[in-house]
Amino acid sequence: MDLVQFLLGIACLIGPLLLGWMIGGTRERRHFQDLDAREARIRGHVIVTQNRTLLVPVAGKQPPQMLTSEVVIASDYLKSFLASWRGFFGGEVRSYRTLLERARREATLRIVEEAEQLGYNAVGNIRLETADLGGANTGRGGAAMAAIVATATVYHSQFAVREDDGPAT
Amino acid sequence: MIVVNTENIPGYAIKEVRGLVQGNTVRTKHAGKDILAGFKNLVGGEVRGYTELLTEARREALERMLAQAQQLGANAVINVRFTTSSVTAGAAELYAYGTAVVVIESPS
Repeated sequence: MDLVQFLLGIACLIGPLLLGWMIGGTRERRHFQDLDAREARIRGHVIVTQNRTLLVPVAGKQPPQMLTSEVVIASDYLKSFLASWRGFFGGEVRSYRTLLERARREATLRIVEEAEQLGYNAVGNIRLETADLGGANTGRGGAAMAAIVATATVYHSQFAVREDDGPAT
Repeated sequence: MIVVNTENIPGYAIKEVRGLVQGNTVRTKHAGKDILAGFKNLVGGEVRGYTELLTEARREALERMLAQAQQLGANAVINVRFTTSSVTAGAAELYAYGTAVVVIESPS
């Protein structure tokens, strides 16, 4: 009986950690691969800057337009566990750094991809902000979420001309 | 209505400034989504319920801002900014603000 209880206790402790490690870890790796692939595809097609002034804008079919995107990514149990340990010793919380990086890159890519779909070739004045979801699942108890809201203006630029398209007019 | 978050609109000249316009909203998701988000915190990954929440809140705030701009007779809003703040658990406040202007097309 004691042994069963002991094993159950261990399972409750290790189970979520394993779940976080296996599912969360796999998801993160896949997400990074996905981000790398999408960013590589965009490069050279769309110019992405965070300049406040737009780079050599040219008149296109449509006027410039503001686009927004939002991403909320949850931490997994393992990340939260590691972070709470890190909180004890101090230092860089690497598991949360990757979480925020993923959210930011994803939010940026969503805007860039939408811009491309709408026929724009440049994204300017990208602003990335963290959103506060108010602590229902964040903050307390070590569960963390990265919520990023991104805003940008998309336009036609003389730069970022695809070679097969010829010069822009 | 042209909406940008830059200080001017390429290809357009600002004729008149109609002043600051703003819109805000506080939104929540139903409890089920909060519970699902709690589960997501075990295995990681994107929390679509909350992403949706932010998207809806953003659209709402933006629409209110645009309605104000329309009332002022503007045909564009420039330098739009967003801010978020937390009011209560699981809710998001989104505030959008920008400058309402009247623009005309100008080749430059």
